Amino acid sequence: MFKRLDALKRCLPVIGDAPCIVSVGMTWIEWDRLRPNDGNFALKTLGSGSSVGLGLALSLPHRKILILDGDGACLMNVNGLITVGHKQPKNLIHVVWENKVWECSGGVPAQTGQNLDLVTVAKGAGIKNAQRVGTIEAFEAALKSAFAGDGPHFIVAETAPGDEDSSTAYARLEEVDNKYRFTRYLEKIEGKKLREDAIDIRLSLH
Amino acid sequence: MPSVENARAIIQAMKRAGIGLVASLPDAALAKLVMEIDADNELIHVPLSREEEGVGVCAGGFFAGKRCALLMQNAGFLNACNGLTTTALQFEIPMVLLILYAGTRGDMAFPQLGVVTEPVLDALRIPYYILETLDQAPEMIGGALVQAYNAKRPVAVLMKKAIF
Repeated sequence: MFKRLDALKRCLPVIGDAPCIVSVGMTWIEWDRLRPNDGNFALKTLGSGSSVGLGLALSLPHRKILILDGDGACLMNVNGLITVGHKQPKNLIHVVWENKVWECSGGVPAQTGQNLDLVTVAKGAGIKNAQRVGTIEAFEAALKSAFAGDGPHFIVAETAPGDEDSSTAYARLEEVDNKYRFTRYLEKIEGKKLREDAIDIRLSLH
Repeated sequence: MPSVENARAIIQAMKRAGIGLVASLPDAALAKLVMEIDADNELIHVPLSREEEGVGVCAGGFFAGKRCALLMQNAGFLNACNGLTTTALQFEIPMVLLILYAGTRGDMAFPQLGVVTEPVLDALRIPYYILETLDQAPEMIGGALVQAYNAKRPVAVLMKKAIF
Protein backbone atom coordinates (compact mmCIF):
# COMPACT_ATOMS: atom_id res chain seq x y z
CA MET A 1 0.00 0.00 0.00
CA PHE A 2 1.24 3.50 -0.82
CA LYS A 3 0.11 7.09 -0.54
CA ARG A 4 -2.27 8.50 -3.16
CA LEU A 5 -0.55 11.88 -2.91
CA ASP A 6 2.82 10.33 -3.79
CA ALA A 7 1.26 8.46 -6.70
CA LEU A 8 -0.42 11.63 -7.98
CA LYS A 9 3.01 13.31 -7.98
CA ARG A 10 4.32 10.45 -10.12
CA CYS A 11 1.49 11.10 -12.61
CA LEU A 12 2.61 14.64 -13.43
CA PRO A 13 5.60 13.89 -15.68
CA VAL A 14 3.80 10.98 -17.37
CA ILE A 15 0.51 12.52 -18.44
CA GLY A 16 1.66 15.66 -20.27
CA ASP A 17 -1.29 17.84 -21.23
CA ALA A 18 -3.89 15.05 -21.01
CA PRO A 19 -7.32 16.24 -19.87
CA CYS A 20 -8.13 14.80 -16.43
CA ILE A 21 -11.57 13.84 -15.13
CA VAL A 22 -11.22 13.87 -11.35
CA SER A 23 -13.45 12.35 -8.69
CA VAL A 24 -15.12 14.50 -6.09
CA GLY A 25 -13.42 14.46 -2.69
CA MET A 26 -9.83 14.17 -1.57
CA THR A 27 -8.56 12.98 -4.95
CA TRP A 28 -9.62 16.34 -6.38
CA ILE A 29 -8.24 18.34 -3.45
CA GLU A 30 -4.82 16.69 -3.66
CA TRP A 31 -4.69 16.75 -7.48
CA ASP A 32 -5.76 20.37 -7.76
CA ARG A 33 -2.92 21.43 -5.49
CA LEU A 34 -0.40 19.46 -7.55
CA ARG A 35 -1.78 20.47 -10.96
CA PRO A 36 -3.84 23.68 -10.63
CA ASN A 37 -4.57 23.58 -14.31
CA ASP A 38 -7.61 24.27 -16.48
CA GLY A 39 -7.22 20.78 -17.93
CA ASN A 40 -8.95 19.28 -14.89
CA PHE A 41 -12.65 18.63 -14.65
CA ALA A 42 -13.83 18.24 -11.04
CA LEU A 43 -16.79 15.87 -10.97
CA LYS A 44 -19.74 16.47 -8.69
CA THR A 45 -21.86 13.36 -9.37
CA LEU A 46 -20.22 10.49 -7.48
CA GLY A 47 -19.15 7.75 -9.85
CA SER A 48 -19.66 9.73 -13.04
CA GLY A 49 -15.94 9.71 -13.91
CA SER A 50 -16.07 6.67 -16.17
CA SER A 51 -19.09 8.14 -18.00
CA VAL A 52 -17.78 11.69 -18.51
CA GLY A 53 -14.40 10.26 -19.47
CA LEU A 54 -16.04 7.93 -22.00
CA GLY A 55 -18.08 10.71 -23.62
CA LEU A 56 -14.93 12.80 -23.95
CA ALA A 57 -12.79 9.91 -25.18
CA LEU A 58 -15.29 8.95 -27.89
CA SER A 59 -15.57 12.57 -29.01
CA LEU A 60 -11.77 13.16 -29.06
CA PRO A 61 -10.56 9.68 -30.14
CA HIS A 62 -7.04 10.88 -30.99
CA ARG A 63 -6.35 12.16 -27.45
CA LYS A 64 -5.57 10.30 -24.22
CA ILE A 65 -8.12 10.99 -21.48
CA LEU A 66 -7.26 10.25 -17.83
CA ILE A 67 -9.84 9.51 -15.12
CA LEU A 68 -8.68 9.80 -11.50
CA ASP A 69 -11.33 8.00 -9.47
CA GLY A 70 -11.99 6.63 -6.01
CA ASP A 71 -13.04 3.06 -5.28
CA GLY A 72 -16.29 4.13 -3.62
CA ALA A 73 -17.13 6.40 -6.54
CA CYS A 74 -16.34 3.62 -9.00
CA LEU A 75 -18.72 1.30 -7.13
CA MET A 76 -21.50 3.84 -7.44
CA ASN A 77 -21.39 3.62 -11.22
CA VAL A 78 -20.25 0.10 -12.08
CA ASN A 79 -22.48 0.52 -15.13
CA GLY A 80 -19.87 2.94 -16.45
CA LEU A 81 -17.32 0.11 -16.62
CA ILE A 82 -19.81 -2.01 -18.57
CA THR A 83 -20.23 0.77 -21.12
CA VAL A 84 -16.47 1.33 -21.43
CA GLY A 85 -16.04 -2.42 -21.93
CA HIS A 86 -18.65 -2.31 -24.66
CA LYS A 87 -17.31 0.75 -26.52
CA GLN A 88 -13.58 -0.10 -26.11
CA PRO A 89 -12.18 3.45 -26.31
CA LYS A 90 -8.46 3.03 -27.05
CA ASN A 91 -7.63 6.42 -25.52
CA LEU A 92 -9.25 6.06 -22.08
CA ILE A 93 -7.19 5.47 -18.94
CA HIS A 94 -9.12 4.93 -15.70
CA VAL A 95 -7.14 5.01 -12.43
CA VAL A 96 -8.96 3.98 -9.24
CA TRP A 97 -7.42 4.77 -5.85
CA GLU A 98 -8.52 1.80 -3.77
CA ASN A 99 -8.33 2.78 -0.10
CA LYS A 100 -11.14 0.38 0.81
CA VAL A 101 -13.17 3.02 2.67
CA TRP A 102 -15.77 5.63 1.81
CA GLU A 103 -13.19 8.28 2.62
CA CYS A 104 -15.34 11.36 2.13
CA SER A 105 -18.31 9.75 3.83
CA GLY A 106 -16.65 9.34 7.21
CA GLY A 107 -14.24 6.48 6.48
CA VAL A 108 -16.87 3.74 6.61
CA PRO A 109 -15.46 0.44 5.25
CA ALA A 110 -16.24 -0.10 1.55
CA GLN A 111 -17.05 -3.36 -0.20
CA THR A 112 -13.66 -3.26 -1.96
CA GLY A 113 -12.11 -4.22 1.39
CA GLN A 114 -14.17 -7.40 1.60
CA ASN A 115 -15.35 -9.72 -1.19
CA LEU A 116 -15.20 -7.42 -4.19
CA ASP A 117 -12.37 -7.21 -6.73
CA LEU A 118 -12.80 -4.28 -9.12
CA VAL A 119 -10.20 -5.69 -11.53
CA THR A 120 -12.29 -8.83 -11.97
CA VAL A 121 -15.36 -6.65 -12.52
CA ALA A 122 -13.57 -4.59 -15.16
CA LYS A 123 -12.22 -7.69 -16.92
CA GLY A 124 -15.66 -9.23 -16.84
CA ALA A 125 -16.98 -6.09 -18.49
CA GLY A 126 -14.51 -6.56 -21.33
CA ILE A 127 -11.72 -4.19 -20.22
CA LYS A 128 -8.81 -6.54 -20.95
CA ASN A 129 -6.08 -4.15 -19.81
CA ALA A 130 -7.22 -4.16 -16.19
CA GLN A 131 -4.68 -4.60 -13.42
CA ARG A 132 -4.01 -4.11 -9.73
CA VAL A 133 -0.84 -2.41 -8.48
CA GLY A 134 0.43 -2.63 -4.90
CA THR A 135 3.57 -0.49 -5.09
CA ILE A 136 4.23 3.01 -6.35
CA GLU A 137 6.81 1.69 -8.80
CA ALA A 138 4.28 -0.72 -10.27
CA PHE A 139 1.76 2.10 -10.48
CA GLU A 140 4.14 4.37 -12.36
CA ALA A 141 5.03 1.57 -14.78
CA ALA A 142 1.35 0.76 -15.38
CA LEU A 143 0.51 4.40 -16.04
CA LYS A 144 3.44 4.83 -18.46
CA SER A 145 2.41 1.69 -20.28
CA ALA A 146 -1.20 2.94 -20.48
CA PHE A 147 -0.09 6.25 -22.01
CA ALA A 148 2.15 4.40 -24.48
CA GLY A 149 -0.36 1.82 -25.74
CA ASP A 150 -3.96 1.28 -26.73
CA GLY A 151 -6.65 0.86 -24.09
CA PRO A 152 -9.08 1.03 -22.55
CA HIS A 153 -6.89 0.80 -19.45
CA PHE A 154 -8.09 0.24 -15.90
CA ILE A 155 -5.60 0.51 -13.03
CA VAL A 156 -6.58 -0.21 -9.44
CA ALA A 157 -3.96 1.30 -7.14
CA GLU A 158 -3.88 0.07 -3.54
CA THR A 159 -3.46 3.31 -1.63
CA ALA A 160 -3.92 4.41 1.95
CA PRO A 161 -6.66 6.88 2.89
CA GLY A 162 -5.40 10.49 2.93
CA ASP A 163 -4.21 12.24 6.10
CA GLU A 164 -6.59 15.19 5.92
CA ASP A 165 -10.11 15.71 7.20
CA SER A 166 -12.05 15.64 3.94
CA SER A 167 -15.08 17.34 5.49
CA THR A 168 -13.28 20.69 5.68
CA ALA A 169 -11.29 20.42 2.45
CA TYR A 170 -11.59 23.37 0.11
CA ALA A 171 -12.57 23.05 -3.54
CA ARG A 172 -10.99 25.88 -5.54
CA LEU A 173 -13.30 26.02 -8.53
CA GLU A 174 -16.94 26.93 -8.88
CA GLU A 175 -18.64 24.47 -11.23
CA VAL A 176 -19.65 26.76 -14.10
CA ASP A 177 -16.21 28.38 -13.99
CA ASN A 178 -14.72 24.88 -14.18
CA LYS A 179 -16.87 24.13 -17.24
CA TYR A 180 -15.66 27.20 -19.14
CA ARG A 181 -12.02 26.77 -18.11
CA PHE A 182 -12.04 23.10 -19.09
CA THR A 183 -13.66 23.75 -22.47
CA ARG A 184 -11.20 26.55 -23.25
CA TYR A 185 -8.34 24.25 -22.29
CA LEU A 186 -9.63 21.62 -24.71
CA GLU A 187 -9.94 24.31 -27.41
CA LYS A 188 -6.34 25.32 -26.77
CA ILE A 189 -4.86 21.84 -27.03
CA GLU A 190 -7.14 20.89 -29.93
CA GLY A 191 -6.43 24.17 -31.72
CA LYS A 192 -10.05 24.74 -32.67
CA LYS A 193 -13.31 26.13 -31.35
CA LEU A 194 -15.44 23.60 -29.49
CA ARG A 195 -17.81 25.63 -27.37
CA GLU A 196 -21.12 26.81 -28.73
CA ASP A 197 -23.54 28.51 -26.42
CA ALA A 198 -26.12 30.44 -28.36
CA ILE A 199 -27.54 28.35 -31.19
CA ASP A 200 -30.03 29.37 -33.85
CA ILE A 201 -31.44 26.12 -35.15
CA ARG A 202 -32.41 27.73 -38.45
CA LEU A 203 -28.71 27.55 -39.28
CA SER A 204 -28.86 23.77 -39.23
CA LEU A 205 -32.36 23.33 -40.67
CA HIS A 206 -31.26 24.15 -44.21
CA MET B 1 -45.54 -2.20 -33.69
CA PRO B 2 -42.77 0.42 -33.96
CA SER B 3 -41.77 1.02 -37.59
CA VAL B 4 -38.34 1.55 -39.09
CA GLU B 5 -39.69 4.48 -41.12
CA ASN B 6 -40.82 6.32 -38.01
CA ALA B 7 -37.51 5.62 -36.30
CA ARG B 8 -35.67 7.08 -39.30
CA ALA B 9 -37.85 10.18 -39.20
CA ILE B 10 -36.82 10.77 -35.57
CA ILE B 11 -33.17 10.25 -36.50
CA GLN B 12 -33.52 12.77 -39.33
CA ALA B 13 -34.97 15.28 -36.86
CA MET B 14 -32.01 14.66 -34.52
CA LYS B 15 -29.51 15.13 -37.32
CA ARG B 16 -31.18 18.32 -38.51
CA ALA B 17 -30.72 19.62 -34.97
CA GLY B 18 -27.02 18.80 -35.28
CA ILE B 19 -27.06 16.05 -32.66
CA GLY B 20 -23.93 13.93 -33.05
CA LEU B 21 -23.90 11.69 -29.96
CA VAL B 22 -26.78 9.66 -28.55
CA ALA B 23 -26.63 7.69 -25.30
CA SER B 24 -29.51 5.26 -24.96
CA LEU B 25 -31.31 2.57 -23.07
CA PRO B 26 -34.19 0.84 -24.89
CA ASP B 27 -37.89 0.60 -24.19
CA ALA B 28 -39.95 -1.79 -26.32
CA ALA B 29 -41.37 1.22 -28.15
CA LEU B 30 -37.82 2.58 -28.71
CA ALA B 31 -36.33 -0.69 -29.97
CA LYS B 32 -36.35 0.18 -33.68
CA LEU B 33 -35.07 3.68 -32.99
CA VAL B 34 -32.19 2.39 -30.85
CA MET B 35 -31.20 -0.17 -33.49
CA GLU B 36 -31.37 2.38 -36.31
CA ILE B 37 -29.21 4.79 -34.28
CA ASP B 38 -26.70 2.01 -33.68
CA ALA B 39 -26.55 1.27 -37.41
CA ASP B 40 -26.04 4.95 -38.34
CA ASN B 41 -22.41 5.77 -39.08
CA GLU B 42 -22.87 9.52 -38.62
CA LEU B 43 -23.94 9.23 -34.99
CA ILE B 44 -21.83 8.19 -32.02
CA HIS B 45 -24.09 5.74 -30.19
CA VAL B 46 -23.40 4.82 -26.57
CA PRO B 47 -25.63 1.97 -25.33
CA LEU B 48 -26.02 2.28 -21.56
CA SER B 49 -27.02 -0.10 -18.79
CA ARG B 50 -28.31 2.60 -16.43
CA GLU B 51 -29.57 5.96 -17.58
CA GLU B 52 -27.66 8.18 -15.15
CA GLU B 53 -24.46 7.19 -16.96
CA GLY B 54 -25.84 8.93 -20.00
CA VAL B 55 -25.78 12.33 -18.30
CA GLY B 56 -22.03 11.94 -17.80
CA VAL B 57 -21.50 10.67 -21.34
CA CYS B 58 -23.42 13.65 -22.75
CA ALA B 59 -21.41 16.03 -20.54
CA GLY B 60 -18.16 14.56 -21.87
CA GLY B 61 -19.39 14.89 -25.44
CA PHE B 62 -20.48 18.48 -24.82
CA PHE B 63 -16.98 19.48 -23.68
CA ALA B 64 -15.64 18.21 -26.99
CA GLY B 65 -18.19 20.19 -28.99
CA LYS B 66 -20.76 17.44 -29.65
CA ARG B 67 -24.48 18.15 -29.42
CA CYS B 68 -25.75 15.26 -27.32
CA ALA B 69 -29.02 13.49 -26.60
CA LEU B 70 -30.04 10.98 -23.94
CA LEU B 71 -32.72 8.55 -25.14
CA MET B 72 -34.64 6.55 -22.52
CA GLN B 73 -37.99 5.70 -20.97
CA ASN B 74 -39.37 7.88 -18.17
CA ALA B 75 -38.38 5.25 -15.58
CA GLY B 76 -34.85 5.89 -16.78
CA PHE B 77 -35.33 9.62 -16.46
CA LEU B 78 -36.07 9.02 -12.76
CA ASN B 79 -32.88 6.90 -12.55
CA ALA B 80 -30.94 9.83 -14.01
CA CYS B 81 -32.17 12.54 -11.64
CA ASN B 82 -29.06 12.86 -9.47
CA GLY B 83 -26.78 13.12 -12.49
CA LEU B 84 -29.10 15.64 -14.08
CA THR B 85 -29.04 17.72 -10.90
CA THR B 86 -25.39 17.51 -9.83
CA THR B 87 -23.83 17.42 -13.30
CA ALA B 88 -26.12 18.86 -15.98
CA LEU B 89 -27.81 21.55 -13.87
CA GLN B 90 -24.88 22.27 -11.54
CA PHE B 91 -22.41 22.83 -14.41
CA GLU B 92 -25.02 24.30 -16.78
CA ILE B 93 -24.52 21.66 -19.46
CA PRO B 94 -27.06 21.50 -22.30
CA MET B 95 -28.44 18.20 -23.59
CA VAL B 96 -31.67 16.96 -25.12
CA LEU B 97 -33.59 14.32 -23.15
CA LEU B 98 -35.67 12.16 -25.48
CA ILE B 99 -38.04 10.38 -23.10
CA LEU B 100 -40.53 7.67 -24.01
CA TYR B 101 -43.58 8.75 -22.06
CA ALA B 102 -44.94 5.56 -20.46
CA GLY B 103 -48.08 5.72 -18.37
CA THR B 104 -49.44 8.87 -19.92
CA ARG B 105 -52.93 9.48 -21.29
CA GLY B 106 -54.20 6.30 -22.95
CA ASP B 107 -51.18 4.12 -22.01
CA MET B 108 -51.86 1.38 -19.47
CA ALA B 109 -48.18 0.61 -18.75
CA PHE B 110 -46.47 2.06 -15.65
CA PRO B 111 -49.30 4.40 -14.56
CA GLN B 112 -47.33 5.79 -11.60
CA LEU B 113 -44.49 6.82 -13.91
CA GLY B 114 -47.01 8.69 -16.00
CA VAL B 115 -48.25 10.52 -12.91
CA VAL B 116 -44.88 11.64 -11.53
CA THR B 117 -42.89 12.42 -14.70
CA GLU B 118 -44.04 15.98 -15.37
CA PRO B 119 -43.96 17.06 -11.69
CA VAL B 120 -40.36 15.77 -11.38
CA LEU B 121 -39.34 17.64 -14.55
CA ASP B 122 -41.00 20.75 -13.10
CA ALA B 123 -39.15 20.28 -9.80
CA LEU B 124 -35.83 20.10 -11.66
CA ARG B 125 -36.76 23.19 -13.71
CA ILE B 126 -36.21 21.17 -16.87
CA PRO B 127 -38.42 22.52 -19.67
CA TYR B 128 -40.36 19.80 -21.52
CA TYR B 129 -42.58 19.40 -24.55
CA ILE B 130 -44.89 16.53 -25.50
CA LEU B 131 -44.43 15.01 -28.93
CA GLU B 132 -47.86 13.78 -30.00
CA THR B 133 -47.31 13.27 -33.74
CA LEU B 134 -44.27 12.45 -35.84
CA ASP B 135 -44.53 15.56 -38.01
CA GLN B 136 -43.83 17.72 -34.96
CA ALA B 137 -40.47 16.00 -34.41
CA PRO B 138 -38.11 18.28 -36.42
CA GLU B 139 -39.41 21.48 -34.87
CA MET B 140 -39.67 20.04 -31.36
CA ILE B 141 -36.28 18.29 -31.21
CA GLY B 142 -34.56 21.20 -32.94
CA GLY B 143 -36.37 23.67 -30.71
CA ALA B 144 -35.42 21.70 -27.60
CA LEU B 145 -31.78 21.82 -28.65
CA VAL B 146 -31.90 25.59 -29.18
CA GLN B 147 -33.45 26.11 -25.77
CA ALA B 148 -31.01 23.70 -24.10
CA TYR B 149 -28.00 25.64 -25.41
CA ASN B 150 -29.41 29.07 -24.76
CA ALA B 151 -30.77 28.24 -21.31
CA LYS B 152 -27.64 26.12 -20.61
CA ARG B 153 -29.54 23.14 -19.20
CA PRO B 154 -31.25 19.91 -20.28
CA VAL B 155 -34.53 20.21 -22.17
CA ALA B 156 -36.87 17.21 -22.48
CA VAL B 157 -39.10 15.95 -25.27
CA LEU B 158 -41.69 13.48 -23.95
CA MET B 159 -42.50 11.11 -26.80
CA LYS B 160 -45.83 9.30 -26.84
CA LYS B 161 -45.81 5.65 -27.90
CA ALA B 162 -48.21 6.40 -30.73
CA ILE B 163 -45.50 8.19 -32.75
CA PHE B 164 -43.48 4.98 -33.08
